[in-house]
Amino acid sequence: MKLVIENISKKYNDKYAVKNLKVELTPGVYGLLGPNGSGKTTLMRIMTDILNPTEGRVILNGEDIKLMGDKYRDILGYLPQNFGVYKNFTAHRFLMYMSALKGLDTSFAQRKVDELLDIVNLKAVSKKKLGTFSGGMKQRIGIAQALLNDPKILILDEPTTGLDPKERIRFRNLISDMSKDKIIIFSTHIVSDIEYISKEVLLLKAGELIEKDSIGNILRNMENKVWSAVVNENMLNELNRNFKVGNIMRSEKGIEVRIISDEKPLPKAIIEAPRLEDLYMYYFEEELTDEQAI
Amino acid sequence: MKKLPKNFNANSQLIPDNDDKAAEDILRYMQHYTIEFPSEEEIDLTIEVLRQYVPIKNERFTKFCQLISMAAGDITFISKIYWIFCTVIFLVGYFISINLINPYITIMALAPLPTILGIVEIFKGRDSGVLEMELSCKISAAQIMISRILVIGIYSIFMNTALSLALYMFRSNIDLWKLSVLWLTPFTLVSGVSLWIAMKIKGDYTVGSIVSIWSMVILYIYMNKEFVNTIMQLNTAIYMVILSISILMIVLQLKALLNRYNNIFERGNQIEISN
Repeated sequence: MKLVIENISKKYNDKYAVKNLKVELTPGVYGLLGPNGSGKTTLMRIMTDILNPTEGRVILNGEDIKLMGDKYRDILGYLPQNFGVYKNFTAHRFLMYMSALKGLDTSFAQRKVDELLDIVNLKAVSKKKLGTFSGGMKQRIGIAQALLNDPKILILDEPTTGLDPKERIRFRNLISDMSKDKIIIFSTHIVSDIEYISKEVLLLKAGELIEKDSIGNILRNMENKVWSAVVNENMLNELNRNFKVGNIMRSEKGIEVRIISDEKPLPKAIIEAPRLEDLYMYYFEEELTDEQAI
Repeated sequence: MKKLPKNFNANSQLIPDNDDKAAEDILRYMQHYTIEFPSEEEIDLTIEVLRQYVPIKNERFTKFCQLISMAAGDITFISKIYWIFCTVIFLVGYFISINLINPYITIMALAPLPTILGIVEIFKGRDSGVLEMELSCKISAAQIMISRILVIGIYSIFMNTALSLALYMFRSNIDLWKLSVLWLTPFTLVSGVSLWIAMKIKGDYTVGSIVSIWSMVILYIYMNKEFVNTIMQLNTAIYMVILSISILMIVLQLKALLNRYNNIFERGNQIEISN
């Protein structure tokens, strides 16, 4: 199975949300990493065929997905970034409803819904109305609906938003287990979500693909570019002005700081092994929020 | 077509005097140049690539069948409260008009209510933020809405017809034709207006405003005996004109809905959505 994104561009007025993006995907988990506004959601909508690109095509095994229609939707699972639920539906009923929209046979849907409610740890509350669910529980319902038709292509836009750490690990393991014969595209700005499970990472910046490689290779390219040092307040200000500064930790020794730089930033700086959060800083030049650094 | 001059010589036009031989060689080569006919394999490959772009003939019929089966399935996904509430108000309507109130006014008042209340159900995907998830499924958002309109429309017609027949059978001096015209006209008119408003604002706001306005209209009619008489004696042709305009309005709204829900709006930008 091969999904080819062929020179995709999406333009709103004069601004490109996605620009001339080409990439080939085969079974496995792909982490789509990029800051807000980098075009992740637009790209995912194009891949799910709910948004027309301005230019380009998405091709699955040689067939244009636009022309595949129901055949493509049969093998597609999609979790949008922001979604609502029918508050007066129970979890079970909502999943049965989504199964009907996906054209699943009722008896198959019954079995699948029960199985998925168990997987997303919501079996105990399957008869409760969605209006009473917390954000994390609704997110899990969203994940379950994306898996209803046992999709071969699974597109998940920020799926871990609102999940607690335990649920995130559970979810990552689930995705990892499923990835053998599926193309899973997983957008996030939480780097640890994709660190252990993704076959490759796609780095998106201002609508353009700036890197596509395995995490190991990307990190290898960053060797000798991550430094750490213990500094004082004045020096920290100086570093902030001249370098990309990552994690800052105040301790008894002073301020422990992580710096991303091609050259040695300070005489006393020592080289560190690069991590995925450093990669985020290196490519996106943004300060990590607490959530992103988890 | 422009005529060539009589003394026109292709060779003289193409071959410069100072390089006759080279040009003649090129000309000779071009005259004998042939385009090779593609092999069978190449032709087959081209056909295979193009086959996916050939439109499927029976797509409309398939979509229609899908819509009908979707509508049948949708019955169970429409709120039970909706079904119960509508049935109860029609039963109450029947019991009060069998003895007490003018049955023509009752049926006129009740006729559009299932459609008005059904607006919430029709647009609930859009209003609850489920639309994007629904769009990624086999059944499109527009299809979902149309199928719900179909279900609610059929239910409304069934309830109104049942009430008309019940009143005709169990109450004396009932003109069935007049009764039918008096429910059909407000039913289509108010349905058209409700759809038009619901395309612009949230479903529950639409229901709130239309129910309020309709209640005031009915109250005014009920309190004003002369107006009741005018309505009862109005020429059937006038009802037919109103009915025709209302049907046209519904058709236009359905067309607009089909166009609109190939589109969604996000962060103030209109996003073009596939069919």
